[in-house]
Amino acid sequence: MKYLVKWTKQGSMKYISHLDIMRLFQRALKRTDIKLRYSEGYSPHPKMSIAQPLSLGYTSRGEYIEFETQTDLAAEDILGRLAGAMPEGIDIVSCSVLKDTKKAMGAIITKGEYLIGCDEAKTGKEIKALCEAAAYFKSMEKILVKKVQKKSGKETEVDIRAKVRSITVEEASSERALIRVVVDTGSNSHLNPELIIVKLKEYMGEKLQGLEFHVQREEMYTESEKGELIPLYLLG
Amino acid sequence: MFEIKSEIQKKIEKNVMRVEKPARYIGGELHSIKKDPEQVKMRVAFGFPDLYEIGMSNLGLQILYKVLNDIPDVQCERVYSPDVDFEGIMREEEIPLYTMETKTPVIDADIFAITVQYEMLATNVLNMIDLAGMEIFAKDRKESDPFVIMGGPCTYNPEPLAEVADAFSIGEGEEVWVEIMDKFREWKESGKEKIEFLKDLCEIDGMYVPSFYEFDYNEDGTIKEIRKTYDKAPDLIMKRIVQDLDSAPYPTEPVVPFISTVHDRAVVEIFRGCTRGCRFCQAGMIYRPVRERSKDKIKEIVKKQLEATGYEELSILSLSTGDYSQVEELVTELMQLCRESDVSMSLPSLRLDSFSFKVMDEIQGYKKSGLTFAPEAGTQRLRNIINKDISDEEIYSAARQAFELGWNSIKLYFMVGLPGETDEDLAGIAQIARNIVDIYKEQHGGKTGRLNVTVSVSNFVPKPHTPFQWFPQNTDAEFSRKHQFIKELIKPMKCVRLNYHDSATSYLEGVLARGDRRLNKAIAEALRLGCKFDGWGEHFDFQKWLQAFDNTGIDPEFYARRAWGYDEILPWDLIGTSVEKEFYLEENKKAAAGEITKDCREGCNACGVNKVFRC
Repeated sequence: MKYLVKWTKQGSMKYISHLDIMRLFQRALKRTDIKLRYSEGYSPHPKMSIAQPLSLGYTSRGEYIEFETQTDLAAEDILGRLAGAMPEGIDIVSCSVLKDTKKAMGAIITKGEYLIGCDEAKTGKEIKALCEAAAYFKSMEKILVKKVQKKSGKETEVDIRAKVRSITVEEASSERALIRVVVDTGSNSHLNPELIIVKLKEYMGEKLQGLEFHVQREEMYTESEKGELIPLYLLG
Repeated sequence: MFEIKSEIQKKIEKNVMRVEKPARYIGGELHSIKKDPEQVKMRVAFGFPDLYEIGMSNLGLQILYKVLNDIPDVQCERVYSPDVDFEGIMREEEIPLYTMETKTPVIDADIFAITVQYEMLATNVLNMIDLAGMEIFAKDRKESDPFVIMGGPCTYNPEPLAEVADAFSIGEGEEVWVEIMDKFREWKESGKEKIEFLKDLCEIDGMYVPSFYEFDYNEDGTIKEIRKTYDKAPDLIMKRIVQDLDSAPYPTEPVVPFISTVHDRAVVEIFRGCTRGCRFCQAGMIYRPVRERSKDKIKEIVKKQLEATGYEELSILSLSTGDYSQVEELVTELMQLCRESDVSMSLPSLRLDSFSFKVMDEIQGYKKSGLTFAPEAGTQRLRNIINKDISDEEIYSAARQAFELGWNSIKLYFMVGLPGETDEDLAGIAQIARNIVDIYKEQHGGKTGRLNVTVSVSNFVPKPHTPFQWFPQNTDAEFSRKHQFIKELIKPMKCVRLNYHDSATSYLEGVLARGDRRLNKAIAEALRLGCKFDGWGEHFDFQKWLQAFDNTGIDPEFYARRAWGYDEILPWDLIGTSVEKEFYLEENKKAAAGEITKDCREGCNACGVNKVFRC
């Protein structure tokens, strides 16, 4: 049976890389006696994958892992077993059975939702500048960013505005600012929120270049034919 | 998304993304232990003076972590050496050396324990103390600073670090650490001065407080006399051992790292000690007597460990697996256990017999990685001198079997610079490689095909507490000539590769191994000049070390390259391993005569161990 598990990555878990998280899950599954199916061939590997690797240093409330087990187990059973085997910082949110076992998550995901936060902008002036930068970003029709192509090494310009579905200031208090964005995520079109931060900093002017931002992934989505966002955990 | 953090945590957070492998510095691993602060009366920071990946692979630290945390009012936390990139940031941002579990400064702990696993860590030991914000020399430290207590195999000669440590724990730590904490609890409640705790420590067997001993020297630099300055300090510090391994604490829930480490797997120690008595081998002497863990206990540990960790690999640990009394039953049953739980197995140091081949064939299957033999010397004559019990015929028949079973990669370990060595012995190294190539050709229609022979040559470093402890180490020039000599002979063989160790590193290792108290200042000076991670080729700076010796008036040749007098007082004479000095002298004589000493399972060789411990 194939399962989709939603989990979070908080606290110092943000420093654990994609590959190390894979091993962490593999060992947690082993400890809880959930036997994975293995691929055939010369060097078999467990059928398990994490959708859309998260950048090192980001936290998340919407990570997904899918895997196939040798025997059928109730989704709640898997949820319960894994929940008890995770280190501090990783919480298991949900588990569902995936009926469509052919499609991989990476191919389904099209959008990702992120919170870009800053708790260092202490003065009202800084907060205001940040809000204005976000508004300016939103108002633009095109935002071109130079990008070096991996294969050819050629420099091209990419319009990142087209990859941002929405950008809103969610909170702007004296303590912190939170900006929520929904951006292209997946194998077709992808935007690293880091590029948004680069632009925001640019719009805020030189004085605020040193501000540190924190990024948290909130959710990942696939889209219906009408373009509605469907959070991944609803699949299955 | 935003959490409440301590000052240190904030600084770590802010900077750790700038360094390689941030996960080295964050803790929080599975089975790491954080206690309720209300419950904790004594805090031990346990330091491993090397990178996280190395330190996390060390079983000793995992054992003592468990032993200490099993004491209800003790919290033991781990500390590793930061890599140079993070150290730079720590110094710049004023982040003191901190513990992995609670991210509190080491200087706030009660005891800073440091395990010294090999000589080349000396500067790292000092650097940890410096990074913690303490003075390097014990005499300069404050009443409020933690006690620095060192242990580990390298402290069987504690003198090169004797002015840095407040105390040493000699030998195995399982029992002694409980006793140390009992004494500490009493002392802490008494509110007395630090010196009083050091005196208390003298009542515990195996504890060495170096400040209670003074060394006087002769004009020629040798030791004239060792004087006690506290009359209740012991005359001889006999190492501690755990007599019964089955009842000894063992980490069935070891800390499981997030990032991959050197030995990222479950590990079970099957016995301690070795009966073979190779004369160059310090481990073979200092870990006596042989104590086996029972097969049932081993299996119980393995089951628990695999359940608790989810590791995908199991390794067994000892000085020579093949010598375990029920090795065939044990290996067969462990393999069964591993098969059932989808775990792969790695079996180091098996004997070259048919059972081993059967097992290795089964374990490695299609992916045969490589087989390793350690003849150590190129001729039977020299192998007799060093008492390494392996014959040419054994090597060749093993190679023959290995090739038949489909292996085509063989590694051979040798040493150069051994006592009594001649060029004939060096030629013998190349000859063994040549004969192995010929065996392969014979079986493969005269072709070398996919054959891959690696000859690995290390430089012999005479170690304390061995029959060769008086022997002058070869000079760099001698080592280099020998490397070249072997290289020329091996060059014509296309499928044979030669590796050899850096001579300067071996020289420094030799100096530190047999160093005395005067070396403390040289090590501190080397650190001041920027030496650290000396065991890592990319960091080792021999010129700086020479400068450090020069600045402190130390002649390194005196330690490494001198023929020590058999009647000399040795810097490590205060430390007892239970093997008697007379035995080393006797063995030394037998070596010179080319006489072997049999494995002591075939009859007692009267090394002295059974006068102190149960064999």
